Amino acid sequence: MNKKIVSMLIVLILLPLAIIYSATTGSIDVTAWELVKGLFTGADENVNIIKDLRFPRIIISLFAGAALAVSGVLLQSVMRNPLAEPGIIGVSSGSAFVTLVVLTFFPTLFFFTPLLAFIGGALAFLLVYSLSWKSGLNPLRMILIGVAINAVFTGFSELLMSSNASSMMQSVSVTHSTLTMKTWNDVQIIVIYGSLGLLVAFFLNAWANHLSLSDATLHNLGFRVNLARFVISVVAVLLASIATAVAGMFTFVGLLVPHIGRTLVGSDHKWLIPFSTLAGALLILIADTIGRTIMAPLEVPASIIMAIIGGPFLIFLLRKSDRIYGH
Amino acid sequence: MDIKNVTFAYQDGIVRVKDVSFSIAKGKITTIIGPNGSGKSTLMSLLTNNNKPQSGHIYLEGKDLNEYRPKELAKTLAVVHQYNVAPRDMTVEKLVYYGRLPYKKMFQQDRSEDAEIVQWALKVTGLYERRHMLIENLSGGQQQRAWIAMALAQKTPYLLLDEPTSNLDIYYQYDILNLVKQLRDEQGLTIVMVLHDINQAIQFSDAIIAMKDGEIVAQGDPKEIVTKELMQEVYGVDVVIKEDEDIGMYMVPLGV
Repeated sequence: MNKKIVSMLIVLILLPLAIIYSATTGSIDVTAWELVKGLFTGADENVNIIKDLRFPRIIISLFAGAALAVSGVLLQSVMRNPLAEPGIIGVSSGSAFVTLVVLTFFPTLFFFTPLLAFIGGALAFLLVYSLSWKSGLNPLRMILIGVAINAVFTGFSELLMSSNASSMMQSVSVTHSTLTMKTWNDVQIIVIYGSLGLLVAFFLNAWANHLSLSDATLHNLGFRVNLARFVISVVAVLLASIATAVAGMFTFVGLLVPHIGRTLVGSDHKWLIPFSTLAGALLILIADTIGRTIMAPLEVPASIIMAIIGGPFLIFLLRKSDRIYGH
Repeated sequence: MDIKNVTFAYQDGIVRVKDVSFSIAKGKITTIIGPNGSGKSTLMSLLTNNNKPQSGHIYLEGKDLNEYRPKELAKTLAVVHQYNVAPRDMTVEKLVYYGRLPYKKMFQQDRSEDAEIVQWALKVTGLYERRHMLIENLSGGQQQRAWIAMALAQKTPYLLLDEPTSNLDIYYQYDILNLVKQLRDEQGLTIVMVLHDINQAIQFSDAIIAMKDGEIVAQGDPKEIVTKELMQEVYGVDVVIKEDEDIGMYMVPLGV
Protein backbone atom coordinates (compact mmCIF):
# COMPACT_ATOMS: atom_id res chain seq x y z
CA MET A 1 0.00 0.00 0.00
CA ASN A 2 2.78 2.38 0.97
CA LYS A 3 4.74 1.87 -2.21
CA LYS A 4 1.64 2.68 -4.24
CA ILE A 5 0.93 5.94 -2.44
CA VAL A 6 4.57 7.04 -2.47
CA SER A 7 4.84 6.33 -6.21
CA MET A 8 1.67 8.28 -6.91
CA LEU A 9 2.87 11.18 -4.78
CA ILE A 10 6.22 11.26 -6.55
CA VAL A 11 4.66 11.62 -10.01
CA LEU A 12 2.16 14.11 -8.61
CA ILE A 13 5.03 16.27 -7.35
CA LEU A 14 7.28 15.82 -10.37
CA LEU A 15 4.55 16.70 -12.86
CA PRO A 16 4.04 20.37 -11.85
CA LEU A 17 7.79 20.78 -11.43
CA ALA A 18 8.38 19.47 -14.94
CA ILE A 19 5.65 21.76 -16.31
CA ILE A 20 7.21 24.82 -14.68
CA TYR A 21 10.69 23.86 -15.82
CA SER A 22 9.51 23.21 -19.35
CA ALA A 23 7.57 26.47 -19.51
CA THR A 24 10.46 28.58 -18.33
CA THR A 25 13.33 26.92 -20.22
CA GLY A 26 14.25 27.13 -23.89
CA SER A 27 15.18 29.70 -26.48
CA ILE A 28 13.50 32.27 -24.28
CA ASP A 29 14.35 31.91 -20.63
CA VAL A 30 12.16 33.45 -17.98
CA THR A 31 11.93 32.83 -14.27
CA ALA A 32 8.89 31.13 -12.80
CA TRP A 33 7.93 34.39 -11.14
CA GLU A 34 8.15 36.38 -14.39
CA LEU A 35 6.03 33.73 -16.02
CA VAL A 36 3.24 33.91 -13.44
CA LYS A 37 3.35 37.71 -13.43
CA GLY A 38 3.33 37.87 -17.22
CA LEU A 39 0.39 35.50 -17.45
CA PHE A 40 -1.72 37.73 -15.21
CA THR A 41 -0.69 41.10 -16.61
CA GLY A 42 -0.21 40.09 -20.23
CA ALA A 43 2.43 42.80 -20.45
CA ASP A 44 5.53 40.66 -20.75
CA GLU A 45 6.37 40.05 -24.43
CA ASN A 46 8.43 36.97 -23.67
CA VAL A 47 5.66 35.41 -21.64
CA ASN A 48 3.18 36.11 -24.41
CA ILE A 49 5.39 34.24 -26.85
CA ILE A 50 5.72 31.38 -24.39
CA LYS A 51 1.97 31.34 -23.97
CA ASP A 52 1.38 31.05 -27.69
CA LEU A 53 4.20 28.67 -28.56
CA ARG A 54 5.29 26.76 -25.51
CA PHE A 55 2.01 26.28 -23.68
CA PRO A 56 0.18 24.44 -26.46
CA ARG A 57 3.20 22.24 -26.78
CA ILE A 58 3.30 21.45 -23.09
CA ILE A 59 -0.41 20.70 -22.90
CA ILE A 60 -0.23 18.51 -25.98
CA SER A 61 2.78 16.64 -24.60
CA LEU A 62 0.94 15.99 -21.36
CA PHE A 63 -2.22 14.73 -23.00
CA ALA A 64 -0.43 12.71 -25.66
CA GLY A 65 1.71 11.02 -23.02
CA ALA A 66 -1.26 10.26 -20.80
CA ALA A 67 -3.35 8.99 -23.71
CA LEU A 68 -0.63 6.75 -25.12
CA ALA A 69 0.30 5.31 -21.73
CA VAL A 70 -3.32 4.51 -20.85
CA SER A 71 -3.91 3.17 -24.34
CA GLY A 72 -1.00 0.81 -23.73
CA VAL A 73 -2.47 -0.31 -20.41
CA LEU A 74 -5.83 -1.01 -22.00
CA LEU A 75 -4.41 -2.85 -25.03
CA GLN A 76 -2.27 -4.99 -22.75
CA SER A 77 -5.33 -5.89 -20.75
CA VAL A 78 -7.49 -6.65 -23.79
CA MET A 79 -4.82 -8.67 -25.57
CA ARG A 80 -3.39 -10.18 -22.37
CA ASN A 81 -0.02 -9.28 -23.73
CA PRO A 82 2.49 -7.15 -21.85
CA LEU A 83 4.06 -6.13 -25.17
CA ALA A 84 0.92 -4.77 -26.79
CA GLU A 85 1.43 -1.09 -27.42
CA PRO A 86 -0.24 1.25 -29.90
CA GLY A 87 3.09 2.12 -31.55
CA ILE A 88 4.37 -1.42 -31.87
CA ILE A 89 1.20 -3.11 -33.08
CA GLY A 90 0.50 -0.52 -35.73
CA VAL A 91 -2.44 1.39 -34.24
CA SER A 92 -0.45 4.63 -34.26
CA SER A 93 0.88 4.16 -37.78
CA GLY A 94 -2.64 3.33 -39.00
CA SER A 95 -3.85 6.58 -37.47
CA ALA A 96 -0.89 8.49 -38.81
CA PHE A 97 -1.42 7.16 -42.31
CA VAL A 98 -5.08 8.11 -42.46
CA THR A 99 -4.32 11.51 -40.94
CA LEU A 100 -1.68 12.00 -43.59
CA VAL A 101 -4.06 11.05 -46.38
CA VAL A 102 -6.55 13.58 -45.10
CA LEU A 103 -4.02 16.36 -44.74
CA THR A 104 -2.63 15.69 -48.22
CA PHE A 105 -5.75 15.16 -50.29
CA PHE A 106 -8.61 16.67 -48.32
CA PRO A 107 -7.17 19.52 -46.27
CA THR A 108 -10.68 20.90 -45.81
CA LEU A 109 -11.57 17.90 -43.66
CA PHE A 110 -9.02 19.04 -41.11
CA PHE A 111 -11.53 19.15 -38.29
CA PHE A 112 -12.49 15.53 -38.83
CA THR A 113 -8.91 14.32 -38.40
CA PRO A 114 -9.59 12.87 -34.95
CA LEU A 115 -12.40 10.75 -36.34
CA LEU A 116 -10.43 9.69 -39.40
CA ALA A 117 -7.36 8.94 -37.32
CA PHE A 118 -9.58 6.76 -35.13
CA ILE A 119 -10.77 4.83 -38.17
CA GLY A 120 -7.16 4.28 -39.25
CA GLY A 121 -6.16 3.11 -35.78
CA ALA A 122 -9.18 0.84 -35.50
CA LEU A 123 -8.41 -0.70 -38.87
CA ALA A 124 -4.85 -1.53 -37.84
CA PHE A 125 -6.05 -2.89 -34.51
CA LEU A 126 -8.69 -5.10 -36.14
CA LEU A 127 -6.13 -6.50 -38.54
CA VAL A 128 -3.67 -7.39 -35.78
CA TYR A 129 -6.38 -8.75 -33.55
CA SER A 130 -8.08 -10.94 -36.11
CA LEU A 131 -4.81 -12.20 -37.56
CA SER A 132 -3.45 -13.23 -34.18
CA TRP A 133 -6.74 -14.56 -32.83
CA LYS A 134 -6.21 -17.94 -34.44
CA SER A 135 -2.98 -18.52 -32.58
CA GLY A 136 -4.81 -17.89 -29.30
CA LEU A 137 -3.42 -14.37 -29.07
CA ASN A 138 0.06 -15.80 -28.65
CA PRO A 139 2.09 -12.85 -27.34
CA LEU A 140 5.12 -13.02 -29.59
CA ARG A 141 3.20 -13.92 -32.71
CA MET A 142 0.90 -10.98 -32.11
CA ILE A 143 3.87 -8.65 -31.86
CA LEU A 144 5.27 -10.01 -35.13
CA ILE A 145 1.95 -9.45 -36.87
CA GLY A 146 1.84 -5.98 -35.33
CA VAL A 147 5.31 -5.20 -36.61
CA ALA A 148 4.22 -6.26 -40.10
CA ILE A 149 1.05 -4.15 -40.01
CA ASN A 150 3.07 -1.27 -38.63
CA ALA A 151 5.59 -1.59 -41.47
CA VAL A 152 2.84 -1.60 -44.10
CA PHE A 153 1.19 1.56 -42.79
CA THR A 154 4.51 3.28 -42.26
CA GLY A 155 5.45 2.32 -45.82
CA PHE A 156 2.25 3.81 -47.19
CA SER A 157 2.90 6.99 -45.26
CA GLU A 158 6.43 7.29 -46.61
CA LEU A 159 5.17 6.61 -50.10
CA LEU A 160 2.67 9.38 -49.77
CA MET A 161 5.27 11.76 -48.44
CA SER A 162 7.84 11.11 -51.12
CA SER A 163 5.25 11.45 -53.86
CA ASN A 164 3.93 14.69 -52.51
CA ALA A 165 6.70 17.03 -51.51
CA SER A 166 4.51 20.10 -51.21
CA SER A 167 2.87 18.94 -48.00
CA MET A 168 6.19 17.78 -46.61
CA MET A 169 6.12 20.06 -43.64
CA GLN A 170 2.79 18.84 -42.39
CA SER A 171 3.55 15.24 -43.18
CA VAL A 172 6.70 15.16 -41.14
CA SER A 173 4.86 16.46 -38.13
CA VAL A 174 2.53 13.48 -38.26
CA THR A 175 5.03 10.68 -38.72
CA HIS A 176 7.77 12.11 -36.53
CA SER A 177 6.49 13.98 -33.61
CA THR A 178 8.20 17.32 -33.34
CA LEU A 179 5.48 19.03 -31.35
CA THR A 180 6.58 22.35 -32.80
CA MET A 181 4.12 24.73 -34.40
CA LYS A 182 1.24 23.43 -32.35
CA THR A 183 -1.64 25.82 -31.93
CA TRP A 184 -4.48 26.21 -29.49
CA ASN A 185 -6.69 24.47 -32.07
CA ASP A 186 -4.62 21.31 -31.67
CA VAL A 187 -4.83 21.73 -27.91
CA GLN A 188 -8.59 21.88 -28.11
CA ILE A 189 -8.84 18.62 -30.04
CA ILE A 190 -6.55 16.63 -27.79
CA VAL A 191 -7.96 18.05 -24.57
CA ILE A 192 -11.56 17.31 -25.48
CA TYR A 193 -11.14 13.81 -26.90
CA GLY A 194 -8.23 12.94 -24.64
CA SER A 195 -10.10 13.84 -21.44
CA LEU A 196 -13.13 11.94 -22.65
CA GLY A 197 -11.09 8.81 -23.36
CA LEU A 198 -9.14 9.03 -20.12
CA LEU A 199 -12.30 9.52 -18.10
CA VAL A 200 -13.96 6.47 -19.64
CA ALA A 201 -10.75 4.51 -19.07
CA PHE A 202 -10.86 5.32 -15.34
CA PHE A 203 -14.38 3.97 -15.14
CA LEU A 204 -13.38 0.81 -16.98
CA ASN A 205 -10.71 -0.14 -14.43
CA ALA A 206 -12.77 -3.02 -13.01
CA TRP A 207 -13.37 -4.50 -16.45
CA ALA A 208 -9.70 -4.23 -17.31
CA ASN A 209 -8.95 -6.10 -14.07
CA HIS A 210 -11.42 -8.85 -14.88
CA LEU A 211 -9.68 -9.54 -18.18
CA SER A 212 -6.66 -10.86 -16.31
CA LEU A 213 -8.64 -14.06 -15.75
CA SER A 214 -9.16 -16.48 -18.63
CA ASP A 215 -12.07 -16.09 -21.03
CA ALA A 216 -13.61 -19.39 -19.94
CA THR A 217 -13.46 -18.46 -16.26
CA LEU A 218 -15.00 -15.06 -16.94
CA HIS A 219 -17.67 -16.61 -19.12
CA ASN A 220 -18.67 -18.90 -16.27
CA LEU A 221 -18.80 -15.92 -13.92
CA GLY A 222 -21.48 -14.45 -16.16
CA PHE A 223 -19.16 -11.69 -17.38
CA ARG A 224 -19.63 -10.51 -20.96
CA VAL A 225 -16.02 -10.87 -22.02
CA ASN A 226 -16.44 -9.83 -25.62
CA LEU A 227 -18.47 -6.77 -24.78
CA ALA A 228 -15.82 -5.64 -22.28
CA ARG A 229 -13.05 -6.35 -24.80
CA PHE A 230 -14.83 -4.34 -27.45
CA VAL A 231 -15.49 -1.32 -25.26
CA ILE A 232 -11.97 -1.26 -23.83
CA SER A 233 -10.46 -1.64 -27.32
CA VAL A 234 -12.49 1.28 -28.64
CA VAL A 235 -11.26 3.50 -25.82
CA ALA A 236 -7.66 2.33 -26.29
CA VAL A 237 -7.73 3.00 -30.03
CA LEU A 238 -9.42 6.36 -29.51
CA LEU A 239 -6.72 7.49 -27.08
CA ALA A 240 -3.87 6.33 -29.30
CA SER A 241 -5.36 7.84 -32.47
CA ILE A 242 -6.04 11.22 -30.94
CA ALA A 243 -2.54 11.38 -29.56
CA THR A 244 -1.10 10.41 -32.93
CA ALA A 245 -3.32 12.74 -34.94
CA VAL A 246 -2.32 15.72 -32.83
CA ALA A 247 1.15 14.96 -31.50
CA GLY A 248 2.48 12.49 -34.06
CA MET A 249 3.93 9.04 -33.71
CA PHE A 250 5.42 7.92 -30.45
CA THR A 251 6.51 4.41 -29.74
CA PHE A 252 7.30 2.79 -26.41
CA VAL A 253 5.36 5.19 -24.17
CA GLY A 254 2.52 2.70 -23.91
CA LEU A 255 5.04 0.01 -23.10
CA LEU A 256 7.41 1.76 -20.77
CA VAL A 257 4.91 3.53 -18.53
CA PRO A 258 2.49 0.64 -17.84
CA HIS A 259 5.38 -1.67 -17.14
CA ILE A 260 6.98 0.69 -14.67
CA GLY A 261 3.49 1.22 -13.26
CA ARG A 262 3.01 -2.50 -12.65
CA THR A 263 6.20 -2.76 -10.65
CA LEU A 264 5.40 0.35 -8.64
CA VAL A 265 1.64 0.28 -8.06
CA GLY A 266 0.77 -3.30 -9.06
CA SER A 267 -1.48 -4.74 -11.74
CA ASP A 268 -4.75 -3.43 -10.25
CA HIS A 269 -6.08 -1.04 -12.88
CA LYS A 270 -7.70 1.11 -10.23
CA TRP A 271 -4.15 2.29 -9.52
CA LEU A 272 -2.44 1.46 -12.77
CA ILE A 273 -4.62 3.67 -14.98
CA PRO A 274 -4.30 6.87 -12.89
CA PHE A 275 -0.59 6.24 -12.40
CA SER A 276 -0.02 5.68 -16.11
CA THR A 277 -1.96 8.84 -16.92
CA LEU A 278 0.35 10.94 -14.77
CA ALA A 279 3.58 9.11 -15.54
CA GLY A 280 2.86 9.06 -19.29
CA ALA A 281 2.22 12.80 -19.26
CA LEU A 282 5.43 13.33 -17.32
CA LEU A 283 7.50 11.12 -19.61
CA ILE A 284 6.55 12.83 -22.89
CA LEU A 285 6.87 16.26 -21.38
CA ILE A 286 10.38 15.43 -20.20
CA ALA A 287 11.26 13.85 -23.54
CA ASP A 288 10.04 16.91 -25.41
CA THR A 289 11.76 19.32 -23.06
CA ILE A 290 15.05 17.43 -23.36
CA GLY A 291 14.56 17.27 -27.12
CA ARG A 292 14.23 20.99 -27.56
CA THR A 293 16.93 22.04 -25.10
CA ILE A 294 19.68 19.46 -25.44
CA MET A 295 21.00 20.63 -28.82
CA ALA A 296 19.39 24.07 -28.95
CA PRO A 297 18.76 25.80 -31.25
CA LEU A 298 18.32 22.45 -33.03
CA GLU A 299 15.34 20.40 -31.97
CA VAL A 300 15.39 16.66 -31.45
CA PRO A 301 11.86 15.29 -31.83
CA ALA A 302 10.44 13.92 -28.59
CA SER A 303 9.63 10.67 -30.38
CA ILE A 304 13.33 10.17 -31.12
CA ILE A 305 14.22 10.69 -27.48
CA MET A 306 11.49 8.15 -26.63
CA ALA A 307 12.81 5.67 -29.18
CA ILE A 308 16.32 5.92 -27.78
CA ILE A 309 15.06 5.20 -24.27
CA GLY A 310 12.39 2.74 -25.33
CA GLY A 311 14.31 0.46 -27.67
CA PRO A 312 16.63 -1.02 -25.08
CA PHE A 313 13.72 -1.25 -22.68
CA LEU A 314 11.72 -3.32 -25.15
CA ILE A 315 14.57 -5.79 -25.43
CA PHE A 316 14.70 -5.97 -21.66
CA LEU A 317 10.96 -6.62 -21.51
CA LEU A 318 11.05 -9.28 -24.21
CA ARG A 319 13.65 -11.12 -22.20
CA LYS A 320 11.45 -11.35 -19.16
CA SER A 321 7.98 -11.23 -20.72
CA ASP A 322 7.41 -14.92 -19.95
CA ARG A 323 6.77 -14.11 -16.37
CA ILE A 324 4.21 -11.42 -16.98
CA TYR A 325 0.58 -12.53 -16.96
CA GLY A 326 1.78 -16.07 -16.31
CA HIS A 327 2.25 -17.07 -19.94
CA MET B 1 -29.20 -31.63 -15.49
CA ASP B 2 -30.42 -33.38 -18.62
CA ILE B 3 -28.41 -33.78 -21.80
CA LYS B 4 -30.48 -34.72 -24.82
CA ASN B 5 -29.00 -35.88 -28.16
CA VAL B 6 -26.12 -33.43 -28.06
CA THR B 7 -23.75 -33.32 -31.02
CA PHE B 8 -20.78 -31.03 -31.44
CA ALA B 9 -17.88 -30.53 -33.85
CA TYR B 10 -15.17 -27.88 -33.89
CA GLN B 11 -14.42 -25.89 -37.03
CA ASP B 12 -12.17 -28.66 -38.33
CA GLY B 13 -15.34 -30.70 -38.89
CA ILE B 14 -14.37 -33.65 -36.74
CA VAL B 15 -17.32 -34.61 -34.57
CA ARG B 16 -16.12 -34.63 -30.97
CA VAL B 17 -19.43 -35.38 -29.27
CA LYS B 18 -21.90 -37.65 -31.06
CA ASP B 19 -25.56 -37.75 -30.15
CA VAL B 20 -24.92 -37.95 -26.43
CA SER B 21 -27.74 -38.25 -23.90
CA PHE B 22 -27.61 -38.66 -20.15
CA SER B 23 -28.89 -37.25 -16.89
CA ILE B 24 -26.98 -36.00 -13.92
CA ALA B 25 -28.46 -36.85 -10.54
CA LYS B 26 -28.87 -34.03 -8.05
CA GLY B 27 -26.66 -34.04 -5.00
CA LYS B 28 -24.35 -36.68 -6.47
CA ILE B 29 -20.85 -36.81 -7.90
CA THR B 30 -20.80 -37.77 -11.58
CA THR B 31 -17.42 -38.41 -13.18
CA ILE B 32 -16.67 -38.45 -16.89
CA ILE B 33 -13.81 -40.77 -17.88
CA GLY B 34 -12.28 -41.74 -21.19
CA PRO B 35 -8.98 -41.76 -23.08
CA ASN B 36 -7.38 -38.66 -24.57
CA GLY B 37 -9.43 -37.39 -27.48
CA SER B 38 -12.55 -39.23 -26.35
CA GLY B 39 -14.45 -35.96 -26.23
CA LYS B 40 -14.76 -35.67 -22.47
CA SER B 41 -13.27 -32.20 -22.33
CA THR B 42 -15.44 -31.11 -25.25
CA LEU B 43 -18.47 -32.49 -23.46
CA MET B 44 -17.41 -30.50 -20.39
CA SER B 45 -17.16 -27.33 -22.49
CA LEU B 46 -20.74 -27.94 -23.63
CA LEU B 47 -22.01 -28.52 -20.09
CA THR B 48 -20.32 -25.28 -19.00
CA ASN B 49 -21.78 -23.37 -21.96
CA ASN B 50 -18.34 -22.46 -23.30
CA ASN B 51 -19.39 -24.20 -26.50
CA LYS B 52 -22.88 -24.57 -27.84
CA PRO B 53 -24.26 -27.89 -29.15
CA GLN B 54 -24.82 -28.01 -32.90
CA SER B 55 -27.85 -30.13 -32.26
CA GLY B 56 -29.58 -31.33 -29.14
CA HIS B 57 -30.24 -29.60 -25.86
CA ILE B 58 -28.81 -29.29 -22.41
CA TYR B 59 -31.35 -28.60 -19.68
CA LEU B 60 -30.32 -27.22 -16.34
CA GLU B 61 -33.09 -27.24 -13.73
CA GLY B 62 -35.50 -27.85 -16.59
CA LYS B 63 -34.39 -24.84 -18.60
CA ASP B 64 -32.30 -24.90 -21.78
CA LEU B 65 -28.77 -23.52 -21.23
CA ASN B 66 -29.30 -21.22 -24.19
CA GLU B 67 -32.16 -19.51 -22.42
CA TYR B 68 -30.11 -18.53 -19.40
CA ARG B 69 -28.79 -15.01 -19.19
CA PRO B 70 -25.02 -15.06 -18.46
CA LYS B 71 -25.30 -13.96 -14.83
CA GLU B 72 -28.29 -16.16 -14.14
CA LEU B 73 -26.32 -19.16 -15.37
CA ALA B 74 -23.35 -18.15 -13.23
CA LYS B 75 -25.66 -18.21 -10.20
CA THR B 76 -26.72 -21.77 -10.98
CA LEU B 77 -23.58 -23.44 -12.27
CA ALA B 78 -19.97 -22.80 -11.25
CA VAL B 79 -16.94 -24.14 -13.07
CA VAL B 80 -13.33 -24.80 -12.17
CA HIS B 81 -11.37 -25.05 -15.40
CA GLN B 82 -8.31 -27.16 -15.97
CA TYR B 83 -6.05 -24.22 -16.76
CA ASN B 84 -6.41 -21.07 -14.75
CA VAL B 85 -4.61 -17.76 -14.86
CA ALA B 86 -4.55 -14.99 -12.31
CA PRO B 87 -2.38 -11.88 -12.11
CA ARG B 88 0.83 -12.40 -10.21
CA ASP B 89 -0.03 -9.98 -7.46
CA MET B 90 -3.58 -11.18 -6.73
CA THR B 91 -4.38 -12.40 -3.23
CA VAL B 92 -6.45 -15.49 -2.49
CA GLU B 93 -9.23 -13.41 -0.99
CA LYS B 94 -9.40 -11.12 -4.00
CA LEU B 95 -9.67 -14.10 -6.32
CA VAL B 96 -12.49 -15.59 -4.27
CA TYR B 97 -14.32 -12.26 -4.47
CA TYR B 98 -14.55 -12.85 -8.22
CA GLY B 99 -17.07 -15.54 -7.37
CA ARG B 100 -19.43 -12.73 -6.38
CA LEU B 101 -19.28 -11.14 -9.82
CA PRO B 102 -22.58 -12.63 -11.04
CA TYR B 103 -24.37 -10.94 -8.13
CA LYS B 104 -23.00 -7.51 -8.88
CA LYS B 105 -24.27 -4.77 -11.08
CA MET B 106 -21.81 -2.67 -13.04
CA PHE B 107 -19.71 -0.39 -10.81
CA GLN B 108 -21.35 -1.83 -7.69
CA GLN B 109 -19.16 -2.20 -4.61
CA ASP B 110 -18.89 -5.34 -2.48
CA ARG B 111 -21.66 -5.71 0.04
CA SER B 112 -21.42 -7.22 3.53
CA GLU B 113 -23.25 -10.28 2.24
CA ASP B 114 -20.47 -10.80 -0.30
CA ALA B 115 -17.85 -10.59 2.44
CA GLU B 116 -19.68 -13.23 4.49
CA ILE B 117 -19.94 -15.62 1.58
CA VAL B 118 -16.29 -15.13 0.60
CA GLN B 119 -15.32 -15.85 4.19
CA TRP B 120 -17.45 -18.97 4.17
CA ALA B 121 -15.91 -20.19 0.90
CA LEU B 122 -12.41 -19.60 2.27
CA LYS B 123 -13.23 -21.55 5.43
CA VAL B 124 -14.82 -24.48 3.58
CA THR B 125 -11.72 -24.84 1.43
CA GLY B 126 -9.38 -24.38 4.39
CA LEU B 127 -7.79 -21.24 2.95
CA TYR B 128 -9.02 -18.73 5.48
CA GLU B 129 -5.64 -18.46 7.21
CA ARG B 130 -3.96 -17.96 3.84
CA ARG B 131 -6.41 -15.45 2.44
CA HIS B 132 -3.87 -12.62 2.25
CA MET B 133 -1.27 -14.70 0.45
CA LEU B 134 -0.58 -14.24 -3.24
CA ILE B 135 -1.96 -16.96 -5.50
CA GLU B 136 1.44 -17.55 -7.06
CA ASN B 137 2.96 -18.27 -3.65
CA LEU B 138 0.54 -21.14 -2.99
CA SER B 139 1.33 -24.75 -3.83
CA GLY B 140 -0.46 -26.30 -6.81
CA GLY B 141 -2.97 -28.05 -4.58
CA GLN B 142 -3.75 -24.91 -2.64
CA GLN B 143 -4.14 -22.97 -5.86
CA GLN B 144 -6.69 -25.53 -6.96
CA ARG B 145 -8.47 -25.03 -3.63
CA ALA B 146 -8.49 -21.28 -4.25
CA TRP B 147 -10.19 -21.74 -7.62
CA ILE B 148 -12.71 -24.07 -6.01
CA ALA B 149 -13.31 -21.42 -3.34
CA MET B 150 -14.01 -18.88 -6.07
CA ALA B 151 -16.54 -21.25 -7.64
CA LEU B 152 -18.14 -21.84 -4.22
CA ALA B 153 -18.53 -18.11 -3.70
CA GLN B 154 -20.88 -18.18 -6.68
CA LYS B 155 -23.26 -20.06 -4.37
CA THR B 156 -24.49 -22.39 -7.08
CA PRO B 157 -26.18 -25.77 -6.66
CA TYR B 158 -23.98 -27.18 -9.46
CA LEU B 159 -20.18 -27.39 -9.52
CA LEU B 160 -18.27 -28.61 -12.57
CA LEU B 161 -14.58 -29.48 -12.37
CA ASP B 162 -12.44 -30.15 -15.42
CA GLU B 163 -9.59 -32.49 -14.45
CA PRO B 164 -9.23 -31.03 -10.96
CA THR B 165 -6.40 -33.40 -10.02
CA SER B 166 -4.18 -33.22 -13.09
CA ASN B 167 -0.73 -31.72 -12.42
CA LEU B 168 -1.09 -32.31 -8.68
CA ASP B 169 0.99 -34.70 -6.62
CA ILE B 170 -0.80 -37.67 -5.09
CA TYR B 171 -1.31 -35.98 -1.72
CA TYR B 172 -3.15 -33.06 -3.25
CA GLN B 173 -5.05 -35.29 -5.66
CA TYR B 174 -6.71 -36.96 -2.70
CA ASP B 175 -6.88 -33.70 -0.79
CA ILE B 176 -8.94 -32.17 -3.61
CA LEU B 177 -11.10 -35.26 -4.06
CA ASN B 178 -11.87 -35.36 -0.35
CA LEU B 179 -12.86 -31.73 -0.56
CA VAL B 180 -15.15 -32.53 -3.48
CA LYS B 181 -16.78 -35.32 -1.49
CA GLN B 182 -17.16 -33.02 1.47
CA LEU B 183 -18.87 -30.43 -0.73
CA ARG B 184 -21.39 -33.05 -1.83
CA ASP B 185 -22.04 -34.25 1.70
CA GLU B 186 -22.03 -30.99 3.60
CA GLN B 187 -23.18 -28.46 1.02
CA GLY B 188 -25.39 -30.77 -1.01
CA LEU B 189 -23.75 -29.75 -4.28
CA THR B 190 -24.32 -31.58 -7.53
CA ILE B 191 -20.84 -32.22 -8.90
CA VAL B 192 -19.68 -33.19 -12.37
CA MET B 193 -15.99 -33.74 -12.99
CA VAL B 194 -13.55 -35.14 -15.48
CA LEU B 195 -10.90 -37.50 -14.08
CA HIS B 196 -8.06 -39.46 -15.61
CA ASP B 197 -7.50 -41.92 -12.81
CA ILE B 198 -10.03 -44.78 -12.92
CA ASN B 199 -9.48 -45.82 -9.32
CA GLN B 200 -10.15 -42.29 -8.13
CA ALA B 201 -13.27 -42.23 -10.27
CA ILE B 202 -14.46 -45.51 -8.73
CA GLN B 203 -13.68 -44.35 -5.23
CA PHE B 204 -15.21 -40.89 -5.34
CA SER B 205 -18.12 -41.07 -7.80
CA ASP B 206 -21.76 -41.93 -7.44
CA ALA B 207 -21.98 -42.35 -11.19
CA ILE B 208 -19.47 -42.73 -14.01
CA ILE B 209 -19.86 -41.81 -17.66
CA ALA B 210 -17.33 -43.61 -19.87
CA MET B 211 -16.67 -42.01 -23.25
CA LYS B 212 -14.89 -43.13 -26.36
CA ASP B 213 -14.75 -41.41 -29.76
CA GLY B 214 -17.34 -38.86 -28.75
CA GLU B 215 -19.88 -41.41 -27.63
CA ILE B 216 -20.95 -42.72 -24.27
CA VAL B 217 -19.94 -46.36 -23.94
CA ALA B 218 -21.32 -46.96 -20.47
CA GLN B 219 -22.86 -44.99 -17.66
CA GLY B 220 -24.06 -45.72 -14.17
CA ASP B 221 -22.89 -46.94 -10.79
CA PRO B 222 -19.10 -47.44 -10.89
CA LYS B 223 -19.42 -50.88 -9.28
CA GLU B 224 -21.64 -52.07 -12.06
CA ILE B 225 -20.09 -50.52 -15.12
CA VAL B 226 -16.34 -50.65 -14.49
CA THR B 227 -15.49 -54.10 -15.83
CA LYS B 228 -12.56 -55.81 -17.49
CA GLU B 229 -14.45 -55.70 -20.79
CA LEU B 230 -15.24 -51.99 -20.54
CA MET B 231 -11.62 -51.07 -19.80
CA GLN B 232 -10.52 -53.15 -22.77
CA GLU B 233 -13.08 -51.47 -25.00
CA VAL B 234 -12.56 -47.89 -23.85
CA TYR B 235 -8.85 -47.74 -23.14
CA GLY B 236 -7.55 -50.88 -24.87
CA VAL B 237 -5.88 -51.87 -21.62
CA ASP B 238 -5.87 -55.24 -19.88
CA VAL B 239 -6.90 -54.91 -16.27
CA VAL B 240 -7.87 -56.97 -13.28
CA ILE B 241 -10.62 -55.70 -11.10
CA LYS B 242 -10.63 -56.74 -7.48
CA GLU B 243 -12.97 -56.27 -4.62
CA ASP B 244 -11.49 -55.90 -1.18
CA GLU B 245 -13.48 -55.86 2.02
CA ASP B 246 -11.63 -52.88 3.46
CA ILE B 247 -10.90 -50.75 0.46
CA GLY B 248 -13.76 -51.67 -1.86
CA MET B 249 -13.40 -52.11 -5.58
CA TYR B 250 -10.13 -51.27 -7.36
CA MET B 251 -8.52 -51.82 -10.69
CA VAL B 252 -4.96 -52.77 -11.59
CA PRO B 253 -3.82 -52.22 -15.18
CA LEU B 254 -1.67 -55.08 -16.55
CA GLY B 255 -0.69 -54.02 -20.03
CA VAL B 256 -1.89 -53.09 -23.49
